[in-house]
Amino acid sequence: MSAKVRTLTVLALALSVAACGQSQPRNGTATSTPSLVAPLTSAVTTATAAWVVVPMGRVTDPLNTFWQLFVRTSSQQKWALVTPRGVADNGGLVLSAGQTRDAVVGIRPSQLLTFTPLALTHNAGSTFTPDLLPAALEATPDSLATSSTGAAVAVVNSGTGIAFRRALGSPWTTSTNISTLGTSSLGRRCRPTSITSVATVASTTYIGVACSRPGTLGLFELSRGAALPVTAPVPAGQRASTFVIDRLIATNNNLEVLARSQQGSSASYVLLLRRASTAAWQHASTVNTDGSLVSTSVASDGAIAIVSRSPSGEPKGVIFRPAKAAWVRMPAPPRSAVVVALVGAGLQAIAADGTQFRVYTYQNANQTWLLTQSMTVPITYGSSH
Amino acid sequence: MPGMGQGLLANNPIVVAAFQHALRLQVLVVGLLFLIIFGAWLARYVVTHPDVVDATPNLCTPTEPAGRRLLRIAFGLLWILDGALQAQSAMPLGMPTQVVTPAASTSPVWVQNLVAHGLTTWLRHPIPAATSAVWIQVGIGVLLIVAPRGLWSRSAGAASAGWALIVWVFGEAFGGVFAPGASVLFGAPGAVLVYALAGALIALPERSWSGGRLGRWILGGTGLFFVGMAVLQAWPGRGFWQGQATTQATPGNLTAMAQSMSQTPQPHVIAHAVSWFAKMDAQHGWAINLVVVGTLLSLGVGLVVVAFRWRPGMARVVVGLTALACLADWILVQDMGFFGGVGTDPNSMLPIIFLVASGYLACVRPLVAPAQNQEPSDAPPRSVALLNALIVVGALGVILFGAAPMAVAGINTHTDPILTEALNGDPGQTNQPAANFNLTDQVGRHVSLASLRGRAVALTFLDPVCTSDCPLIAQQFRVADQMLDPKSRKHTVFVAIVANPIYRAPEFVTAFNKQERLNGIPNWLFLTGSLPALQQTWAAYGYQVQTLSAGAMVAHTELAYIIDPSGRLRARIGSNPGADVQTAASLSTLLAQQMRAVLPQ
Repeated sequence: MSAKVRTLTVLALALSVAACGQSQPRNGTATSTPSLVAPLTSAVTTATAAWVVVPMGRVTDPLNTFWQLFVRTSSQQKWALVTPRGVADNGGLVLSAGQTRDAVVGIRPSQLLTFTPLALTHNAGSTFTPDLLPAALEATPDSLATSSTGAAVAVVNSGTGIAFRRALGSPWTTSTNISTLGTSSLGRRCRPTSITSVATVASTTYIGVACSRPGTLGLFELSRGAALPVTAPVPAGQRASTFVIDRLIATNNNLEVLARSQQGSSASYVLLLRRASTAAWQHASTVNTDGSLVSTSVASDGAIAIVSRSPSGEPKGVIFRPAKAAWVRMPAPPRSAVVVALVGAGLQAIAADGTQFRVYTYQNANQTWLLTQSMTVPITYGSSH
Repeated sequence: MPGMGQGLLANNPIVVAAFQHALRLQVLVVGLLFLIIFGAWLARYVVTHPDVVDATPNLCTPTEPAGRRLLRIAFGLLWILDGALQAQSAMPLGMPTQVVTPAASTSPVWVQNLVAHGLTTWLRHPIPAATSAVWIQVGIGVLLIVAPRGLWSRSAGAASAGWALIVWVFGEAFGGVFAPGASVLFGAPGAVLVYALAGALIALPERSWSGGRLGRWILGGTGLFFVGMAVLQAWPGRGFWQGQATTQATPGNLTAMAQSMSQTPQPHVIAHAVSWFAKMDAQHGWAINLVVVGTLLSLGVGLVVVAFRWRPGMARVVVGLTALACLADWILVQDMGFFGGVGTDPNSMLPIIFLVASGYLACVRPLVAPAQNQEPSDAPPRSVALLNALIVVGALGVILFGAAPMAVAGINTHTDPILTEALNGDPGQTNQPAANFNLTDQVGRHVSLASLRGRAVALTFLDPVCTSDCPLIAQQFRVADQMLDPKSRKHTVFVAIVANPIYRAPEFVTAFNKQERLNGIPNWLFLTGSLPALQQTWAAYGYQVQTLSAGAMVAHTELAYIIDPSGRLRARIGSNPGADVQTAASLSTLLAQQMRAVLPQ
């Protein structure tokens, strides 16, 4: 073999090797990674009203997804659209409902907006007063907590900080942040990845986080601007699980904590109750679940409902825990149901599909969901482009 | 309306008209240049040879190596064709969006970033960039053709190679060699890379063409390239072995390419041929790819064999078959490359044919060194040499005529106003008293239009909780302010008035200013007021504000107003910032221009 032929052979081989680099990448195998934070789709029930926050429009296109707020007062018995107007809400809505007909809605910033318009109502959404949080509100259902005096606390800046104000009209100031939380003894055990939720119970503000280390529930109490660790009991069988606090619920001067635990591919929910008067923990219950979390619903009496979805996309089931009772698995809700509202002693599955809003009421007698209300929601497609 | 932003179409009539106008003017200038050159030559020729005015100049010297001459003239003509294609009306806006960006879209991120960096100049100055490309390519083409020998000819080759490499990197994203699915059938590794190779060959010293060695290298190199491309074509999993089993199935790469090409606007007969091939490949994808691989491999091996063991008869057959195969691919797959309104060149197969033919000619007709002391009997007459020299100067002038505006565009970071005019229309010039307003600024001071008398005012209306256009418009106001010289800035003020009936409180104005980093700008005012005061101002300026359905932004018209220091409304400018950065940036240039126009000189 001559030198030229050898050279040519080497060059041809080099080209062949280059060809290897040109081959198309194989499709990766889809893996389901659990969401770190609870979806914004949620429901809150107080003594006077039930509220739901749902995405509507073309939900696969963020700029054509318009979040809507509906309310059902105990006097009206029908759901009404009460989404605040005057601002694009493609980033999602966060609701903080008071015990009367008052509520504060955080309109999460999207696209080029970086601060958070708020809308306050004292009449269950009949009218709103604009307000402002000068930071980006986190996309979790309990990222905003308010009190009747106008004091408020919010999870901001992608779950890394806490902002608070002492009263309506007073300036917002930053409080603690995730780095500071991580330096406490609890923080070192938990190694928090994000702040997920806040709640105010009897003038005490609580902060829930997502922990990256197993065996620890990341809960803090905000006192004079500083975060103090709150040691919460972890169920005996779950010391190897990591916990995310999805919801913090104020229930009659008690704090209810809904934490999602993850161990491998299995997930479960742990519900804890802390009595404000004694600061004693009462381990409520644990329930296993699978599929991805679609929505969470809470009520001021302590009731909880969770909607999860199977990998195929269909709502898989509703897990319901009535106040002070055991978890119950409900029949699968109708197609496109995304959240369950806790209405009085019953349940209503809310389906939001495009511009269609439908309400299915659970019939205890025959254990089915019956369509009881529907309405068309006006949506201005393209208005956020 | 915010939220209704749109991109510019390649055939935007305002941009097309501006491009054609610029080209017409430049054709006149170039024509005049050559007229002067020809006139100068004619005058000198008549003075020195009054009796042979009808002599036909011979532009080529016969002793130039045949292979080199073929390369020079063929690629000269290709550059002129490419220049003419660059003159298509869709090029100023279509070149970046329909040619370069799609070419880079499947390449690695570093390639996309590099290409985007180069594209910025074009996007900022689409008209000068597009016209520059026309004249640089026409100039290189003419220079290649009219400079047959010597330093200028070799320089033309070097210029051709250099420009081709620039186009290869920034215009073709490295010919897609870093993207998956590259195939010689589609044009990999890029047509202009062949131009660059041809330019480099032309730039070689002429003695390199003696003895046929260079020709064999060209043939052998091309053969090796074909072998490598055959391996690439045969590589499993790259999507070339499949056709399209059903109309719903994902087509193979070759089928998809042919199907896509058949949709290009083009003469019916060519569309029919390409469409036929697409159907054939859909049905017999595996067999056709086998033929393609076999052909590439056979031709590649044939060219390598010919390069090492020269046999004239075999060389003729292999080169002829290579030309036929390339022609078939050029028509059936590459679709000749230049149809559709934004075709920039005839793709890679014609250049490859010319390259292989040049290699063949270099072998069969190598440069023969003249015998010592022999006078070249066919040297051109002195007058012809003079004409050649003048045309060379003219061609250089054309290249410079194209390169100079591109160089200027490269250092001018301000986007031309043509983009915002293309989107929003020409600024409406007027001269009437501007309506007064009485509002408060971001720090609570009362501000009326009357209080701004003596300063030029750029006025617009912004929604402080807007998520899309308003922040972009505010930024362009900020940039326009920075574009003015310090003296002018003292006599100007940029004013926004709240365009939201709900979120209009001063804290929203403050939050918006902070968000857009407008707080520290001394001549920036964001005004708000009671709802009646705002409504009165909106009405006075014919401004429409509408609260839409729940969850939607407030809709409002997008206009800016230029008010001169005496309080007269002088221009109405559509302020839709568009769907891309450069269109938005174009608005600031227009605003600054309009503000300068109303300031006292």
